[in-house]
Formats: sequence, C-alpha cells, structure tokens
Amino acid sequence: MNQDIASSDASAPSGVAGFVNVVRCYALTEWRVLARERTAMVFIFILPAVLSAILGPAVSGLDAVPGAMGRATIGFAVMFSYMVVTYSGHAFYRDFWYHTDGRQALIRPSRLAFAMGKVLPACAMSFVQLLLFTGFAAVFLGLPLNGDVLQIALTGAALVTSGSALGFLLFAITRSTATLSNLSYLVLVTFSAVGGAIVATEALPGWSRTLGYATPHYWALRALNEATFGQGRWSVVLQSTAVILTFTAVCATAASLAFDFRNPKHDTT
Amino acid sequence: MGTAHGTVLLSAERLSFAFTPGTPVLRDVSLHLKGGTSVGLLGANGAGKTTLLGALTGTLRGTTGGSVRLDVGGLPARRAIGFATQAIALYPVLTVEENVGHLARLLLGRGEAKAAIERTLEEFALGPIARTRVHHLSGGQRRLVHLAASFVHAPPIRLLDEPTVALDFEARQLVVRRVRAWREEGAAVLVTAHYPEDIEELSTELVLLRDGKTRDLGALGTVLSSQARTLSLRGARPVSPPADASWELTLATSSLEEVRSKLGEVPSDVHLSELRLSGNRLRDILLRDPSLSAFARESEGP
Repeated sequence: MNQDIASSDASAPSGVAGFVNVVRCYALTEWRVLARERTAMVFIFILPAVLSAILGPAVSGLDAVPGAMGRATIGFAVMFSYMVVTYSGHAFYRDFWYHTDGRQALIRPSRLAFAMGKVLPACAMSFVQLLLFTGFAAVFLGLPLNGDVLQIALTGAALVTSGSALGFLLFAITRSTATLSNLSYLVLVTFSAVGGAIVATEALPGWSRTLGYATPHYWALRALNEATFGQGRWSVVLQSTAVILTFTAVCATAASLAFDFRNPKHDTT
Repeated sequence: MGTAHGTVLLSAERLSFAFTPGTPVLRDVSLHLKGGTSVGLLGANGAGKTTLLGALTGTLRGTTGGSVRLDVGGLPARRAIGFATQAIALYPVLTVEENVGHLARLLLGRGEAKAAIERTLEEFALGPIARTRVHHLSGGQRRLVHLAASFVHAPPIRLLDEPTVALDFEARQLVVRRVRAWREEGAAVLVTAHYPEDIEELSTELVLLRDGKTRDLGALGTVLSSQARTLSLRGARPVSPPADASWELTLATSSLEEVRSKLGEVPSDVHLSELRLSGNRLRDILLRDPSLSAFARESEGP
C-alpha cells in the first residue's frame, strides 16, 4: 500500500525536542497510572521489606557473617526490583486494556522514545527501591560500605534497565497479559534463585551457580557485594555492569525487531 | 483548519485488505474524502466498516493492496488524521483533562497543547468534569471525552466509528453539531453508525460497503429524494378479518398530491368504504418523509 506521508510537520516538536517530548508524554501518563493504581508500590517496596523482616538472614546462608541481615535485605531488593519486568510489560499492554493501541498505531511515535517513556516510571521506582533498601541496610542492619555509593547506583541502574528491556521483549513476543505475567514471575523467581538473590551464591549447588552466570541478578549481586562487603574495586563493578548491559542490549534489540505498533494482542477483545 | 472546501484530502484507490492471506475483507474500495463534506458509511454488521477505517489509517496488520493518499499540505498522517475508534480509548484512572492533555502534548507539543485542551474541553462541554477521573464517568460522558481526545489536534481528516453509541439525546445533538461545525471549517469527515438516522444527521454524502466493495451513492439529499414518502392510515378497530385491535395501511407515495390516486390502489381486502359503513373511524393519518432506514434495509440486504 502506498500511503503518502509528508515528513515535515511545522508545529509539532521534531528532532531531539520531539524525542524528549514523546518520552515525557508517555512517562508522565505511565507515572500517573502507576501511582494511582498502587499495586506496583506494594510489589516493589512493601513485599521485599516484609520478606526481609520475616525471612532475614535465614535464607542467606550466611548467619555467621557480620551484616548478613543487610546482605539478605539487598537480595530481596534485587529480587523484587525485577518486578520491573512485569510492570514494564504491563505498561505496553495497558494500551490494549484501554483500547488506546489504535492511537499508538496511528501516531507511530519513535519506537525508542515510546518504549523509554513507557518503562521509565517502573524503572525509576525499582531503582529508588534498590537505593533505599541498600541505604537502610547500611544504616540499620550493619551492611558495610567499602566501595562507593556511585557503584551501587550504577549497578542498580543497569539492573533495572535490563529488567525493563526484558519486559519490553516479553510484551513483544506474547499475545496476552496473562502470558506475560506468568513468564515474568517465572523470570523473577528463577533468576533470583540461581542468581543468588534468595540464597547466597556460595551456598548454591554447582549446576545452579553455573546457570546463575546467565542472569543479571548474579552480576548485580557480584557488583553490590564488591561495593559493600568487598574492596570496592571499580573494575569488578564495571565488568559486572557491562555484562548486565549486554544482556539489556540483546533483549532491547530482540524486542525492537519483534515489536510493531499494529501487532494485535488477545487483550484487545 | 485551513483546508479548502471540495478539495480531496484523502483518496483511497482499489484498496484491499485481508487479515489472513486469501480471505479478503476489503476487495476493491475506492473512497474520496473532500474538505467540507461528511461521508456516511453504510453497511451491515460485519461488512467491514471498521476494517476499512483501520485500513485507511494504516493501523491494522494484514495484507494490503491499492493506495491511500493524503493531500493535507505536508502534514504527516498522525497530525492530519483524527480517528475516534468504536471502542472508547481512554486511561480510566486519569482525569478527563489528563487524557485529552496526553494526546495534545504528544501531537502538538507543550507550546500549543494548553490552548488546544481548553478549546476542546469547551467544544465538548467537558469543563465541569475536566478534573474527574474517567472511571467515574457514565458511558455517554466517556464517549464524549473519547471524541474530544481523538480530535484535540484539530486534524483536517476526521474518522468516527460509531460515535453516537451510548449517547443520550443531548450528547448526541452535541456530536451532530460538532460534526457540522467541523464540516463548515473545511474538515473531511467519515462516519459509521449503527442507525441510519444517525448517518442521516451526520452526513452529506453516502457510501455503501457491501461484499468488501464500496458503492458511491452520492449526496444524501439525492438518495433521500429518490425514496418514496409513506402514507399510513390507522383505524381504531380491526377490519375483516379481525386480527388485531387496530389496523394499519401503508402506501408508498412521493407527494401529497398522489395520495388521492394512491388510495385507489388499496388492496382488495381492505375497503375504505366498508370501514366507513361498519362504523370504524380513522384514528390517524401519517405521512412519513423519505428516510435512510428503508433505503439501508434494501441496500444492505440480509
């Protein structure tokens, strides 16, 4: 089909300003929805706090280590920060729940700007959660901080970005919210388990540890351990974040190849 | 809006569309939307009206053929076309203003958005509920917000799929007034509706969609003038054989002058003189103007 669409558009923002405008529009709307629906707050902030308090160092396998409670808290924070997968996917599915998908298909904004705007609020929430929990563990639970706060921030940013990219990918390849949710919970539990977020890597069986190397959780915890219990070496942190960002790039590339504004989803009906 | 009346703003030529290859929904569609006109799209349920709107806007995934061209002074499709889908497309936890504002900022940028939001809320009389969340609104109010959001960027081409669903009389009249105003401003409007009465009020031109093909029926006035007036005589009591508590005789006629001669063609089982003799009395006489309903029934077929 030949659809003549002129490229010039005098009144609407274009270029970088247009890109930023698209990101801002979707991010603002998503933030309002997340803030008012509140379930994301519960899963990202409250649930890890409750589990940390209930299970504490018992699951960390490091009872004798000073700061074990703090270590367990960070594990749960890392685990539930990956709820960003679910909420990023839901951000895209939301348009099918509310029938606004047709509008996106007509407007066809920059795919990158659209995706960034959609996932930014969930990403920001997960990032803030990681920082808050780490800060809490450092101040109240005896978690040492041998490295730099920037190392924790960099690791956290890389981790939640990888979760968002995975959420985008799961949205792009699934047909319904139920499928996306099931897959994202599967990811949340298995990545956390083999990545050392629930039980410390040292306490895991060998095969499980091997699987863990393929998860962003393992690398995030490696970097976070270096910044807290370790020697705070930047080389370890940067190596770990590079692996996480590679995972992110693979997911984002696959998602953008599979994504089409016109793709139908079962949730439409 | 700055478009000339009578200029073709959107033209579709030999447009075809299939969700799955080999089973086309649209076969050979040609359609021209001119500034200052409003095309009513008639068609039975499942005829492909919604699919046609999707194919025109390029929002459906499937196999397409033919062409859709826009002549809107260089505006990109997203700015040139406003599409109010049949399903209400709003974020329920956002307010009316936030829903309209989301699209205004997205399509116009922050600079123009504020004025556009204010204008649109006023046009659709949404000021009093501007800060109400959509999930608190009635179905009719949501429909109005949906229309407002769809056209907040004042596009020269406006597509409306079943815009009057769930609207009460007042809201429906508001939509009719808006469509007429858009037409006067030079917009090209394409509208579908469940009821021919709605098409009659919202359109100036008619197109019939049947078997995946369009047929240009021309101006609404021409179509209506080709239809006969209907004369109904209703009696107070049944006539022979007595069946119901009343009877009705319908004659097709094109003018009042023909009534007398038409009365001479009354079917033999109903005799007006007999009615008079048996003491029956005429309860009412109704002369109906031609309407699109009868035409649609005939045209759309089973």
